[in-house]
Amino acid sequence: MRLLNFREISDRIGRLSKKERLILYLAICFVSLTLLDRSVISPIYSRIKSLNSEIKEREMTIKKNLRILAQEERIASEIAQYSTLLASAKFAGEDATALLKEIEDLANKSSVYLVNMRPAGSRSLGASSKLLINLNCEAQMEQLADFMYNIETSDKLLTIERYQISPKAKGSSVVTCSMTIAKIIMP
Amino acid sequence: MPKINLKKIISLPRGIHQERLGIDFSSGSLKLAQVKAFPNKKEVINLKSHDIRDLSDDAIAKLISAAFSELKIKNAAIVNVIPAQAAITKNIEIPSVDPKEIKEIVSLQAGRHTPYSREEIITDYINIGTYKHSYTKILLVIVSRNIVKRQFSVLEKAGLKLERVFFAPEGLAWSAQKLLGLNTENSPASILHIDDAFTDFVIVFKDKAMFIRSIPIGALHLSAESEKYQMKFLEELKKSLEAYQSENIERSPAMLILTGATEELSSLEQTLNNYLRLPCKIIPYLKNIAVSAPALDSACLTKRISFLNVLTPLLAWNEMNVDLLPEEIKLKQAVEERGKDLIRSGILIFAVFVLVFSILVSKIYFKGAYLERLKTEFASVNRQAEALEKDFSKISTLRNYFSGRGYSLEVLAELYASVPEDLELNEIRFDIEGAFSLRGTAATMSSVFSFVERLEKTKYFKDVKTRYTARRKEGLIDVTDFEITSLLHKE
Repeated sequence: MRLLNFREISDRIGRLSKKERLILYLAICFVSLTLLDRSVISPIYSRIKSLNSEIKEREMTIKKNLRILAQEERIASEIAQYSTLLASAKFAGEDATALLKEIEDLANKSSVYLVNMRPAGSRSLGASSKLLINLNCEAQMEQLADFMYNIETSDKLLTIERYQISPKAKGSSVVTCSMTIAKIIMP
Repeated sequence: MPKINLKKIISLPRGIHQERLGIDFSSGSLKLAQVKAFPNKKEVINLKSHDIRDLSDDAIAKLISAAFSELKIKNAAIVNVIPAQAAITKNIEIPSVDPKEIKEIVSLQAGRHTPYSREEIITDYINIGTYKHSYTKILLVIVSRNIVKRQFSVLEKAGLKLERVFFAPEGLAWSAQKLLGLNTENSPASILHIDDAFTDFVIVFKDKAMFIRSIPIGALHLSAESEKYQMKFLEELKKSLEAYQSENIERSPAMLILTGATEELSSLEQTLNNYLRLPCKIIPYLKNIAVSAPALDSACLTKRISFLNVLTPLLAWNEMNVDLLPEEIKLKQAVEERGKDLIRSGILIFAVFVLVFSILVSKIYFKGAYLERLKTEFASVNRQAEALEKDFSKISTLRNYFSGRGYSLEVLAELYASVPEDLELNEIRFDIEGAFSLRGTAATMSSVFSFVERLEKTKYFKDVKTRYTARRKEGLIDVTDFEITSLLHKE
């Protein structure tokens, strides 16, 4: 029976013209190759490709990490150098009050009148972040400059992000200032 | 479409042999020859013969079946040999040199040379050579279809399947050089192959049978009743030589070789020498081939039977051109062969596919393993490096902090130094991100512009622009309100 079927198919193919036979063979080849590609080659190829890129990425990371490790001593010595500052940069939630107190002390030290002061949230800087404090104050220009100097030179890693200074009244030597102070925080 | 011969591609590897079995039961005896063909060597394993003169076809089939069981043959290629006495041969010239055309002409003309109708015969030919550039001399071979059909029927009853049907004299011609050591390149040689009941007279030139005549006198007659048959035999031989010469095919043979069942006919050599005035020589056919001890014993026991005609086609397998298989069998075999080819191709494609698939899968496996090894082996390095990187980023943050420390005051100090006497500032806006603006009042508009120029020259401000200037009266004096914007320049 199988032999007869094969013979029938063979006869039918034999009856086709040379051109038709060529087209038939090409079509069979094309369909077979497409099926093979879709079912086997493409999935395997994409898996190999993803593995290659993962390996490349991993190798690059390892090279970079080895370079970093080569500088271990230098980094360790710098960490030791900045250890005090790094300790002060560590921050817990309850320290916000201490920071406000610190700023208030600095204002008092410079004879600056603090009108109000409030935390203004925090901003991420990748590995570290900034805790922001908004304040409004009044003072003589010299006193304000002294207050600003004290903030910038504080060992609490404070910096002035924004300020707006204007005279309290026309012809007055007292100025009002709204300021945003940032404290650098490290985990 | 180009045809791929898988049999050639997947040829037998060294050390693997092919077993071949030749059968001849056309005359009064059944002859079996078994040959093992190695890539570089062929060896005769078994030779068997039986007297079948009074046996029916069924009995012959049983005898063959029993012989097969005795020889323990498995997977052998089985061939049948048609001897010269069962065929009609004619030397004819065909006006073509194209093998395809020759085959067609032979097929058309074959009927003319026999008393049978075209449907009752099987034909093929031996190409002797091209003459006058456009003619081909051939030796036409005609066999009655009934003879071949009978062979098939008997072998089918014995449970065997025939692969090919050879013409014995073609093998005999091949044996001239290979087994008998004759050089027929320059001049023809006549070979007398003596069997039990018949003798084949074959003229061989360039290893091709050019002329064939069967003489119905064999070793049985010449040994048992020598006086009665010898003269008759000599006359038949003379007739054969004359018939060859009359055909004007090629030169006359330079020698006469006696082979086959010649062990009891040693005196015939001298007789022929004297009678034909032609150099005659007896050459045993088993001396130039590897023969197993049982086969040699069997050949020695059956002194009046020659196995040469059943043996040579097995040895000259690939050089045998005459194929006397009926067309319908050829067609059936071709269909079966195509089926087998298809299966072989399928297996080959599947094997290639499995191989490629295995290579790719192993590639994925090894890459995955390599990645896993990278992850595990460098895990501690990565952890240490991550911790160090964190520390490094802290240090970088601190460095950035120190580099920008006091910048807001520096800007204010620079502004203080740049403000002219006649200018009053009402608002200073500073943003560390880079924006800076001023509002104020000046006595003259030119003071504003000169202030802008001065700011532009400092290292802290760039792109300084006057956003607006507006004149107004303050009491009795004209003053100018202004707004200046700038970008902060960080080094």
